Amino acid sequence: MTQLPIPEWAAAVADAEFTDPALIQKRASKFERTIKRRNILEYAAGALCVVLFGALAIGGVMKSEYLFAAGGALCVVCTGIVIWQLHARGSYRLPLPEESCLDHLRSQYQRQYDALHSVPVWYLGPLAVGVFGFYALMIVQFTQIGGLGKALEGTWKPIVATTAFFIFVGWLNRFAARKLKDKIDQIDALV
Amino acid sequence: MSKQADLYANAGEQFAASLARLARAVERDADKARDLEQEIHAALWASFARFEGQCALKTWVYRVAHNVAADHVSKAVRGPKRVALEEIDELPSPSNPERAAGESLVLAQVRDLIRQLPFPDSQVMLLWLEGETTKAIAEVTGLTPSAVGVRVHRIKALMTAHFDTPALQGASS
Repeated sequence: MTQLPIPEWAAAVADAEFTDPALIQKRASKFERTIKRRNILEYAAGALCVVLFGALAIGGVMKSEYLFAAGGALCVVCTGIVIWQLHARGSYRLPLPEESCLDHLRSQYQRQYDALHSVPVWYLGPLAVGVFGFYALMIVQFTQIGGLGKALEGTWKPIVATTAFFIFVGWLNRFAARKLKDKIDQIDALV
Repeated sequence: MSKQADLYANAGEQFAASLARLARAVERDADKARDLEQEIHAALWASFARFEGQCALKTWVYRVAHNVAADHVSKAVRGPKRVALEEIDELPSPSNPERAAGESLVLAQVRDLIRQLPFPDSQVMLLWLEGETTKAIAEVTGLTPSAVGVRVHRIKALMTAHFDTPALQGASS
């Protein structure tokens, strides 16, 4: 340690002390709490989807509407895949804060980049299969009742809106991933 | 006393004040700064279970503290626009005049500057303010010594232009 450049700086909070270890051990770290809260929210949202589509599937079976039932079941399966992916990806190792600052920053950006960049594959993909599979089965069902024209008339708007939503979410994630890639490149240029 | 507790106590004696200053520099809100300080303590406590003398205790402590602080800043929903050191010509005006009057204009301006800097510039500046050498700053941040030197030179130029502090001439060489 050399001479302090600004004495006022070193004089500030000179009497600070570390938190009692007993208190630290009692309290879960903020990071862990944040991850737990996020996971609970995501699992709750997933469970809601499973319950709703599961009820649709069961209702379809009870009323002998087997295509409705198949559509609901497909959505339950695809939601289950997304929940499993969230669980698997959320259990990645926690970052080690004793890395050098640049390594730490880079690994944090890289983790976020990997997650965002692959959203279309592990998140949007299974959801799209479930939702569009459901639409397809509905079209088949309605075609049997009133013909293809009537079936498409009632479903094309939600299909277009859903497609636009999926494309927008995918683009948004890729855009955010590109911004992170720029930051990673900037860090790489520093070392 | 366990090795972990021993290391924690040792680090507390040497670095508690530095880490408190770090927390208050990166987080403007006093309650959140105290929370961040405790978060750093918790991360240090956990990290000491993995400490096997891979580097100096000081390097370890500063790395953990700065990385936890960086994560804290990254999670903030809104923050000040970051401006790289080479683009700054003068220190910012203190954003809160009442607070500035209470705690000294120098500290207020320095903290505001730190909050404006991107990583790793702000980390270099904080370590420099603690009187760390270019080599020590390079070990903590992962920057090359020459990259640290460039930043320290720029910080010193900014500071000497604004504060009449003789120690600025000789620090961190």
